[in-house]
Amino acid sequence: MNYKHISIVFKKELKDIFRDKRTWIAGVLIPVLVFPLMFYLMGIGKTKMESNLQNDIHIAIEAKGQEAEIIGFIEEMEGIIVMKPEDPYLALENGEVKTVLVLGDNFQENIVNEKPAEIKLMYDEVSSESSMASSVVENAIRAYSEGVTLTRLSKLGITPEVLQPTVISWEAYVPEGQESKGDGAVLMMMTFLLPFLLMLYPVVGGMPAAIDLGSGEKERLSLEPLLSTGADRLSILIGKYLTILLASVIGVVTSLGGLVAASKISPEMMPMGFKISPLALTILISISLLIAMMLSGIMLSISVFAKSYKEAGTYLSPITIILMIPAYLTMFMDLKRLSTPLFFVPLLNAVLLMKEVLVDIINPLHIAITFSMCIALVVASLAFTKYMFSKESVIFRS
Amino acid sequence: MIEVKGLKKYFKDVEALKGIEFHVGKGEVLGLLGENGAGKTTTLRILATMLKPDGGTIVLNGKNVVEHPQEIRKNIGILFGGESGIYDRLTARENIAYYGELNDMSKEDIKERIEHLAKIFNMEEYIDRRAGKFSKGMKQKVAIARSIIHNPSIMLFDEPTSGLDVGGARIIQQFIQTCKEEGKTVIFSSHTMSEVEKLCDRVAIIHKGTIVESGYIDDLKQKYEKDVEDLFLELVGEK
Ligand SMILES: Nc1ncnc2c1ncn2[C@@H]1O[C@H](COP(=O)(O)OP(=O)(O)OP(=O)(O)O)[C@@H](O)[C@H]1O
Ligand SMILES: [Mg+2]
Repeated sequence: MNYKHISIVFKKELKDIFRDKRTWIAGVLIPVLVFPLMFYLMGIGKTKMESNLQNDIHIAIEAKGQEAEIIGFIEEMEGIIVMKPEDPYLALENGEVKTVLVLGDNFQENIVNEKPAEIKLMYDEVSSESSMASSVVENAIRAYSEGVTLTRLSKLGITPEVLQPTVISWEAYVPEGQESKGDGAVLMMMTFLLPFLLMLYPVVGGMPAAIDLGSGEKERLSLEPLLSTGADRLSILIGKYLTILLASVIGVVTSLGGLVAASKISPEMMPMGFKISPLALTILISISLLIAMMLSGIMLSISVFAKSYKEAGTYLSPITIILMIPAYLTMFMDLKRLSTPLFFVPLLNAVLLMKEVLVDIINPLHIAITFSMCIALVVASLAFTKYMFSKESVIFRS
Repeated sequence: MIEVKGLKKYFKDVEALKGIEFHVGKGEVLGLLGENGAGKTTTLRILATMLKPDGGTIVLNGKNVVEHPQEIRKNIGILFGGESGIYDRLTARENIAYYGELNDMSKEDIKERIEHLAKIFNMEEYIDRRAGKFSKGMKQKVAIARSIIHNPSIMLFDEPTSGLDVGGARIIQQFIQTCKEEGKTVIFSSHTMSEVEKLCDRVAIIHKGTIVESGYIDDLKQKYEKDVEDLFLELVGEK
């Protein structure tokens, strides 16, 4: 091993990958843009849907020639316009009305006689606006029913409170001396998104470099001349490894930058009103770095094994899916009741630990196990990479 | 100076080299002739320390290849295939300098040497342009310059003209000629008999991992009373 050779290889590879458009696209552009864009589009979708609902909802009522009080009630509701199309169902299909209210037989009679009066909401199952409109109409019907109920109760001399034995309200318990972790939904999103990012983006950022630095050398036939220079194999390998590691870290940093940018651009979608303690932040960063170190080694090994860019791409792309599994697997786990053996499972432990520290659970045992496992895996991955790079049947695989 | 004795190499169960023997002196060009799969590339890779031999001894400039791989590498240059292995996103100068640095040359020496090489190979015009858009011939010159940036005393060529047009092949042939004149020790493998006859002092004919015949071209011609091509076919043909 020769530090000078390592630095020569590292500098050359950096120069090489940063002159490559793919590095900028995969390592910088995509991570920076993906969240702001996602939240922006989600925001547009949400606002559009909401504004559509704020507009008046067009409905039709099929009364089958009956007169009923409820018709007048709904016609007078604000936000609901009752249309009178010739064929209500055709109008529903065309989207001219969002829902059709069908009165059952003898509707008004049943109301008067205090029997259940049937009413049906016909909606378009492929239109999300239709189902939302239907629930608005349903609420209108409930309001009408409530009015009817009240009349009936007062007729019997009963006050409405009699029918409401309990009053329920929700409040998150915040222990004394602690602050609220913020909006529950935001917390849930962050404990999913952050570990997901910190696992996935080392690969997204590092993969193009890994492919180029391993199989790329083979494909362009530059590996043999390189190996016959005065530099030893280990130095060449370390130089390449450090390049991929840097690209991985850049991928993570840019994606986090993207997340912050997203919260600035669409604060209503991604409020950052939640806090991370310095200790938690240190743990998050170290775990992410260890994961990047481990994955860089694995990616480089696989890439050196592959004979061509294409082959390397085929072998490497499943890694992203493998990395997503722990993130999804842990999505609904109760962070307060994680069993310690789970922290011996590689990758899963990293995700779980990140989630724990995000909600301020600092469990020294979990931290110790996870870090030991991660460090062991980094060492194993480096040893594997070194082994692969020294093996003739890998370097000269034909 | 190259001295190879009893060189063996296995790939799993396949015995690719079964005791190769030859020597090449300073200022001499040895042609390594053999059919596909004979073992030429394997031999040259072992000489360049990329593969480890499973038996035999190889001594380059008085040093054992297995014991001093790194020192050996600083004294050899390789050109495997014609224009292979140029980094498209680096300039010609950066491509060449990279190998100079890896061979522990000083910055000044590299600069000087590149100026010199750019002049003899007529590369001055494009030396600072990125290699991606170079023609085959331009890339080839960069590859040649890179292989000799550290002025190695031993040059190994593996089918350096395969896939090149006449002009490209000519550049390489002239380069081999220059190496010889500069007193380098040269081995080059080839399928092309005319090329071998033109450039080599001696030939070694390798067949299924053994050297079946070697010697000065003229001696061999006299011995077999045939031209090189016919005697090659006789030696490697299935008998
Ligand atoms: N990395 C390898 N793994 C397994 N077998 C190999 C490997 N490299 C070479 N061989 C085998 O060793 C033998 C010699 O191959 P080599 O490439 O040295 O031949 P060659 O003379 O260079 O042929 P060509 O003219 O086709 O280049 C062949 O049988 C080949 O299949
Ligand atoms: Mg060959």
